[in-house]
Amino acid sequence: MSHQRFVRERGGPPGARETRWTWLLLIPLIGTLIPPLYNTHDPELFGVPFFYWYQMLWIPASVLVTVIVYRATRRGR
Amino acid sequence: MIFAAVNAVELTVFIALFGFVTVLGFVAARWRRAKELNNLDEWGLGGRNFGAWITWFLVGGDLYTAYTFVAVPALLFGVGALGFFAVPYTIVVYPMVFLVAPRLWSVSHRHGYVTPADFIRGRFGSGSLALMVAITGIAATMPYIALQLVGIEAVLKAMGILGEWPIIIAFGVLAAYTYQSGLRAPALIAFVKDSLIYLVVIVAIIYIPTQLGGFDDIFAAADKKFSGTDAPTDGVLLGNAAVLGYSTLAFGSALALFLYPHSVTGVLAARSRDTIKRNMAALPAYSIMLGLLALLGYMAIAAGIQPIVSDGKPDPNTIVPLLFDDMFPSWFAGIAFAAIAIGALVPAAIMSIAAANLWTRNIYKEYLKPDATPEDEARSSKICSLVVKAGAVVVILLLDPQFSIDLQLIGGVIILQTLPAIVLGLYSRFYHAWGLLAGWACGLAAGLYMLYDTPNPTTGKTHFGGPQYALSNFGFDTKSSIYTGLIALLVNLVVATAVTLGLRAAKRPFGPDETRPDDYVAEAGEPGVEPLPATAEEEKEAIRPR
Repeated sequence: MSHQRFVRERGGPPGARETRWTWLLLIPLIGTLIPPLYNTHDPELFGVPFFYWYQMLWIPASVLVTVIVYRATRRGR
Repeated sequence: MIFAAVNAVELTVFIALFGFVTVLGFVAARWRRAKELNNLDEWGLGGRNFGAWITWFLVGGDLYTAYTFVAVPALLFGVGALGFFAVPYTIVVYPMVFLVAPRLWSVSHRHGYVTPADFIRGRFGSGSLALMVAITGIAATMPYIALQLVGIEAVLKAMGILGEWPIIIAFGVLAAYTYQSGLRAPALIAFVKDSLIYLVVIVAIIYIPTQLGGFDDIFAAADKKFSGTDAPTDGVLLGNAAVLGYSTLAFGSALALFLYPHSVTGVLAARSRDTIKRNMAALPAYSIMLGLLALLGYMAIAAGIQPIVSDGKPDPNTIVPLLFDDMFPSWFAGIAFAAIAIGALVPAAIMSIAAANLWTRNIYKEYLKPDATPEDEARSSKICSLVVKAGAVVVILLLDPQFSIDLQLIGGVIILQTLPAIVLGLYSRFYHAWGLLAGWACGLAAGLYMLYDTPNPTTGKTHFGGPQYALSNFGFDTKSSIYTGLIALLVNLVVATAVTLGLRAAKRPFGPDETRPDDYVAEAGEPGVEPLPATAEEEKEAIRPR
């Protein structure tokens, strides 16, 4: 019984709908891998230059994106 | 003389915590115990049955090593913004791995693969390609283990403990409980390691700035230091010449991270595909810690920390321990030092297990003893894990630690050369094994040449000066540089594709593929993915989709 919950309810490989959702995973890459977007000192936050807190902010943002994709592509739902 | 300036309280706290995890390491053999312990699934993958929480601690403890904690702030201390690449690096890695790792998990569970080379063997039907992946993995992991010793050494130096015996003892103890408990030891110790690290980072990031006049003053001090140098790539912001290097280094390092055998070990030890996916969403919590930790480099500048000089060379890796020593009361400094040292043990254990599994599965069983029983495999891995750690100690004690740092630099570039086989192999059988081998060889040669050809004017090195290759070498009129590993990967892909197309045109036969498309999306509980007996404790921590 304990492993029942892992059983896929709908068979088959991930469909087109899932594939579309996975494109969202590109967002954190675009947000963090183009330094000219954020390579500035201002605006500061608590004395920390933009360069640093902007990139730190992408950590929760990337978590959010991953969670959205995870939920949207979870099977058997 | 060894205890010249040792603080008794600091040392006592340090030894107490170190002793505690040693006991945990041995007790781990009994933790979540299976009926049979003498096989690689149990010793080398902890029973393939770790749930979401354990996997989170295990993989986090595996990827964010003591060396990271010491070296990333040291990099910011030395060159400024460029060192912050570790943050985008650990942001972009998880969305990418979210796609790839579940496929590797599924196919490995269907076919009982323990190492990435096992998968290559099954997918491409080529022993030589699997051997290539195994040797590359071992070669890239060995210096990484040695670097963990550099992390411990930095802490010991800051505590005023000199000499070689403490490192020998630390690694001797580590080797003993890894031998006994396998992957269960680092999994259990990772809980302690990360709790301590989180505690130290949170206290440090709140307390130290109040002592230094706030972040305004900290960044101003860093800015002043970097304006005083004439190097074009340092500064609190990225110089124009450093922008491309920054993003390619972050991206390339992210591509390489999950190709390391120890990352694969962490992934394969998970109990289900879903566990991995959830972890890819949860692991960035460690990146927050890493980002905060990185800023300690600037705090060290503001606090006027000078790295310890040994053998006439300043050792920037000592700045974080020295900062803790300077800022914290001795009992808390003891906790902080223990956190870093224990942080070295967890990845060192997992790395040695991963290297040992590669040796056993893809060299010993494949070439030396094809009829090896599961017991033989476990014995071979256990002994190999001892050899690997002894090797790391010898390398660190006999050779210049700089040698390991150079080797690790090379390790990142060469492990990236297994990407076409492993990652593209998870999606397609387009490539021919010979094409992949040719690509690997050319990528490796190109990567090594470029690393050799990279000087570092700041440290005065003429070769192996860093992971960035200047574009001016290709005739471009620019000061920009690109992560060497990515250029080598490009060479690799071009050659692999060209050779594959040639072999396809010549109608050369492909090796047999023992995997099927649905192997890559199989979840625990499905046919062919053996459900493992669950204990009451696991039930509690197992994930329940609602």
